[in-house]
Amino acid sequence: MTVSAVDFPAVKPSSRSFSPGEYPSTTFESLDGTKTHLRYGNKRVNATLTLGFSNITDGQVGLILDNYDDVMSVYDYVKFTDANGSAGIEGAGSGYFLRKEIHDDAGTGKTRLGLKWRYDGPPQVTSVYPGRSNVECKFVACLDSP
Amino acid sequence: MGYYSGADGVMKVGSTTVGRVTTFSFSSSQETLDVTTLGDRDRKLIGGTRSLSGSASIAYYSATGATSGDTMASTLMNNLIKTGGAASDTVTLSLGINDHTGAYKDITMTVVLTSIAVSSAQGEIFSADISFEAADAPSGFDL
Repeated sequence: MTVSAVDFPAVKPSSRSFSPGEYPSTTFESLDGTKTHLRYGNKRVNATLTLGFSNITDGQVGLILDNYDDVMSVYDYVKFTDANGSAGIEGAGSGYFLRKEIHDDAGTGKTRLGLKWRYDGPPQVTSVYPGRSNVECKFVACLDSP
Repeated sequence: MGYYSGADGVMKVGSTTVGRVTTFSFSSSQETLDVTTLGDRDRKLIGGTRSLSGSASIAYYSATGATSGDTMASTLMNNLIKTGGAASDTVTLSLGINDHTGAYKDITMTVVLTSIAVSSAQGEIFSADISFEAADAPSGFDL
């Protein structure tokens, strides 16, 4: 199945929470306490990204909901840029390492490790004022099979 | 006359001018909605919900021939304080001034009385200090 990158709308978040994910593995602990650790891969997976949008217009909310439909109805993936998911990230000294965890420099929409962002549940919309709402979007970075 | 003083102030409850009011005041405020986003170094705000509140002090008056305006302190107390668990009444309040032409300029609003403080002290006039909050947007404003 061929999947495509779908641009996230140009709405800057007011908060961002990121977790880099884990390396697939399982630890067995026997009765005497001995631990056996099995690693299933050397690629980090299931990074999570939570974006909070405070007091955005209802029109912007509509763009986000439309993006949710566009991505999840056909299992495409979300492409972030500095105009949305990675807004405000600095760090030239590290080679923009944090930004590359959200999108690479090549414009593919994938992360530095080739993971693809998809919605980890529908966006949560809370209306707070006429024409204004708060939105929370949760994403999970998936390592698709070749 | 370009300036106005307390002598020009008028307070009405409904259409009745309060005859024994000594002070009134109101203030309007607005909440803010923070629309600052990641990457901004300066806070960005837009206007949010407005509110209006105020207070007045009305001398308690009782005499033969007193008008309903004279006895307004008692009327307002009866709008808030109820016996038998009855609901309190909202009040239509008008606060304003008579301008240089004698025209009445005011703000009119339906208010919820939030407190009435009554005190009696030696050497002081028995009066009621009321506080109120607007129950909705003002229905008239031409101050």
